[in-house]
Amino acid sequence: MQNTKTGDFRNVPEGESWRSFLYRNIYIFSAVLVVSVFYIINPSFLSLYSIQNITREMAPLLPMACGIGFVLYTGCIDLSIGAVASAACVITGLNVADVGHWIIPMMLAFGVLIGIVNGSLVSRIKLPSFIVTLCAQSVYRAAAIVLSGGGSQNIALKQRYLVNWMSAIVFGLPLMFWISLGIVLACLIIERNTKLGKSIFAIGANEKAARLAGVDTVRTKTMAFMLCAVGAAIGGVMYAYKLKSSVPAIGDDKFMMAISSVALGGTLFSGGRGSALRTLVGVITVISISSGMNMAGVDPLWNNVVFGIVLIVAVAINSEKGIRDLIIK
Amino acid sequence: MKTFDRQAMTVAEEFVSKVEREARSSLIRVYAPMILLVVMTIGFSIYDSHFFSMKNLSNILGQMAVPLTLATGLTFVLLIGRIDLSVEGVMGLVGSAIALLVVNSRNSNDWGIWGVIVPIIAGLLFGLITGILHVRLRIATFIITYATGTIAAGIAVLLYHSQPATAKAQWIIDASRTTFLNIPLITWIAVAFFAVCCVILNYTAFGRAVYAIGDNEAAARASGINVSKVTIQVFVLSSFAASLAGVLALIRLKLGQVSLGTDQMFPCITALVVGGTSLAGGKGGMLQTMVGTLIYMELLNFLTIIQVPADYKKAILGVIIIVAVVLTLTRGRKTIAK
Repeated sequence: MQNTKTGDFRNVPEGESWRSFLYRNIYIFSAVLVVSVFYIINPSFLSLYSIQNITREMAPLLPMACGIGFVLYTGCIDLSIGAVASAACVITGLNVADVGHWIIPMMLAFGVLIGIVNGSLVSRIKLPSFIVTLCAQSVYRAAAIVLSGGGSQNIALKQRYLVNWMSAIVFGLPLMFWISLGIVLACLIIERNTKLGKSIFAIGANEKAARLAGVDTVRTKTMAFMLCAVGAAIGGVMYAYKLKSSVPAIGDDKFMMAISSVALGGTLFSGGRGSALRTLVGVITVISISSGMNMAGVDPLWNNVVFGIVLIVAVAINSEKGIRDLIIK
Repeated sequence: MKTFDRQAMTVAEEFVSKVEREARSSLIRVYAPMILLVVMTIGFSIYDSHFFSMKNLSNILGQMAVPLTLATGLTFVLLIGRIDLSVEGVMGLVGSAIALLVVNSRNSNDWGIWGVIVPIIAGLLFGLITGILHVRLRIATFIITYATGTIAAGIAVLLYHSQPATAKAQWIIDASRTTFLNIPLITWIAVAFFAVCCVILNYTAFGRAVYAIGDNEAAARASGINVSKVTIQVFVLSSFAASLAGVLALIRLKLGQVSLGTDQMFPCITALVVGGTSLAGGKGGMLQTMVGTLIYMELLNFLTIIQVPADYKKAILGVIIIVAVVLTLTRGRKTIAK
């Protein structure tokens, strides 16, 4: 099992039991299981129209999930991504008509700024990350509500041409899904081929050892939070482009979905293990569940209950039960 | 030999000065919030003479019931270095369920006292499940309580299906109108619960075990404390506090919906941290909880008096909690909650 603790999953231990093989690859089995169950219930689940819909739902969630992945690899958590996405969605929706496409780099900068603030509080002042981001959540949620005036506002019909391109169908799937796939690829490259990626995993596996080995833990953690907030901001921009309006409550349940998909992918919440590719499979599972339930006519009010249970099960399967003396709070 | 002596002295002196430093900092941690409370009260009274009027004070105390109850339960959780994010959901679930089971506007149920007991047991179950999952499956508490809280809120919405019920039972209407010494009954209930928890925390083996676990979990386990059992008990206690808060909130507002609990937990954590309870565990107590809750209530009341919009209030609280955590954080603790 030791070998599977490295960031990528390519080192397969010799003579592993079928059980550890199952646990290691459970993310694929769960995705296949979910998709086939919904396919049996409703064969049109895998029709082109339905797949286009599912990929359109997946697109904004992917950057958010991949972003929070980086924070989870370091062993921290960011509870604020939903609120950051809401704020980004509101700002984009309100200003895209005036600023045009410059809104995208502006929102990226917004994400960088938020990430630096959160990351510095966690890494420099050494505050617990969940409390910092819980506070950040309340700040950005309030900002989203105040800026939008409490309700969602549509982008004017005349300005719709500015945002319609994102929903265009390219090679059979929405353009925004291809962009998200590009972001997953970028995350994968950061994880596997850069010093930053290696440092992030090293901190998650053993922060003290990483520091002694010369990793700049303060800078690396801040960078992880920055990537996370940027991912959340991209997600928010995509929601604004997708819904063609500014919705202040869009991110409220998205944290749950993003974190469930990362957990389903097998990322350890204690840090040090995970991959963007596995997160992609997790997002497929989560969106299949929500879309499939929707198509099967299940009341959307069930969503919170279902995702709560999915999250617990996913985390339970992947938790480190082997190490008994580890104190987990 | 002399050098050795001198070295030994230096080490001893170092130790003494370290202990003194720690004692000083803990003194600051205990008394700074009280001084802040007094200064705030005087300052607000000077700013607005209505602040210290009997009417406003009973207003503050009337609104204090729910935060005080939740904060009392959360004190135990924070003392063992854990966190419980599920209280909002459990509160909403218990409140909604009671509104549907007693005489109400939506259906013809009339379960009487069982209409309160059954939802509270359901709330306790959530604490029990959270505790067991945390201890057995070794999942970090902030993630598991986030999940159980979402499930509880989801079940609450499913129960009333987007059309919350208004509780019309006579005892609820009576309870909301009853006052004693100009202070509402629900505040007295909260204060009674607080007093019971004071005794539990300070005069029982369970209370001692809570402090021991928060201070050093490995040492507590080594000295024979059943850490798993105490942890589960703490989560059950916290969910009982959340359930009780749900009952009190329902008595106050009478509309059983999930938003009874929304935005209740965050102010409580603010209150606890401002009062001097450490998020890393082991430091804090009921006195700090009371002081912190009073500070929070006065601040909230003052922000209302000077007419700050509700959304800004939340953002201000978020900033305050960060500052308070920075000030109360013990540096160099290794087992800090992630």
